[in-house]
Amino acid sequence: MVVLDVALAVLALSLLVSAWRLVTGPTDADRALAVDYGFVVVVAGIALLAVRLRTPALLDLVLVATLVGFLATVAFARLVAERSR
Amino acid sequence: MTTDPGAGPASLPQRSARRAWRVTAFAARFLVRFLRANVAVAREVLTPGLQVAPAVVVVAVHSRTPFEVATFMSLIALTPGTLPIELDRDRRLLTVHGMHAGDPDAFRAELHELEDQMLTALRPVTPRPDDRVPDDDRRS
Amino acid sequence: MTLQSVLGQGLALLGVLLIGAAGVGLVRLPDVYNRANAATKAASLGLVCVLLGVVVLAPGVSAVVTLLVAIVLQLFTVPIAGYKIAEAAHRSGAPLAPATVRDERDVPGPEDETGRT
Repeated sequence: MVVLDVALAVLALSLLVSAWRLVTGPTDADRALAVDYGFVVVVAGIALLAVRLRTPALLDLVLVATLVGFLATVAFARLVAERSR
Repeated sequence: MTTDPGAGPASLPQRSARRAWRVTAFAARFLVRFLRANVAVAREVLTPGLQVAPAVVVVAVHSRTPFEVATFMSLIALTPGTLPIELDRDRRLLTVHGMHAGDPDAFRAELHELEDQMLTALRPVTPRPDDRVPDDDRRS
Repeated sequence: MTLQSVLGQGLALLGVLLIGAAGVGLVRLPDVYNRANAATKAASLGLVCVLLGVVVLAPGVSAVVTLLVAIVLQLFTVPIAGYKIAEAAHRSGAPLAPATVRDERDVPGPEDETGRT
């Protein structure tokens, strides 16, 4: 399980990167991108935690989160595209 | 493809088998392309010094039906290093951003090649090759 | 260590490294379009690898089915999300990096106002 701990640590760093891009991103599209990336990181983290904590119920969360993350990204992209008009 | 001698008169099971073979061959070819592009982008990001040569090119789309256009755009969007930016209203011109497009014309030719391979795989096998091009149902 | 756990953890680690590489790309690459390339595709391929690793590690049929559905869903939604972000960047006039070799895009003009997609 050491491997999974290392993997979770890498994911935590990736989330920091996402937050940094969210704050500094020069354009709004960068921020939408950072949110999308952050969502991917969180979903991967949930999947790994399901194994690490032996809680298969978390895997349902993975399924729902992929769908919701996609919808959120599309909505965010629309918002960025429309606000700039 | 050497093992695929174009569309000639054939019975329905033969045509189905030929079509299934084309789709499988294209899927395999795209998988190779996809993995290679992934390695290229990962190496670009992880090695010191940026050697990106980005370019934005406009590609005339050969696809006709919405399904063909959507599949083509999904393939471009799935491949690392290429990104569709905008499709015009008539679905004729696709703007594509390429990450390693030091030679923009070669990059465009590559996209055309991918699209033609995709159309060969997607379109039905018919006795006469001209029948394969579906009707253009876009607004004109 | 069984073969199952080695394979599963290897896939998960590979996926996480891909996600990490996407993060590095998010920091280093010069403009939104290049960053979208790294962040959406490498990250989602990484996520697919992680989920495959969990498929190997997870016990039970229901877990495996759930994960496989999630993987297929991921593969179908990623291109659309990436395209929408790139289109949003283009429409909001995000600048290209100075290193860009050629720019053939037409700047969104008034006629685009009516042609909402």
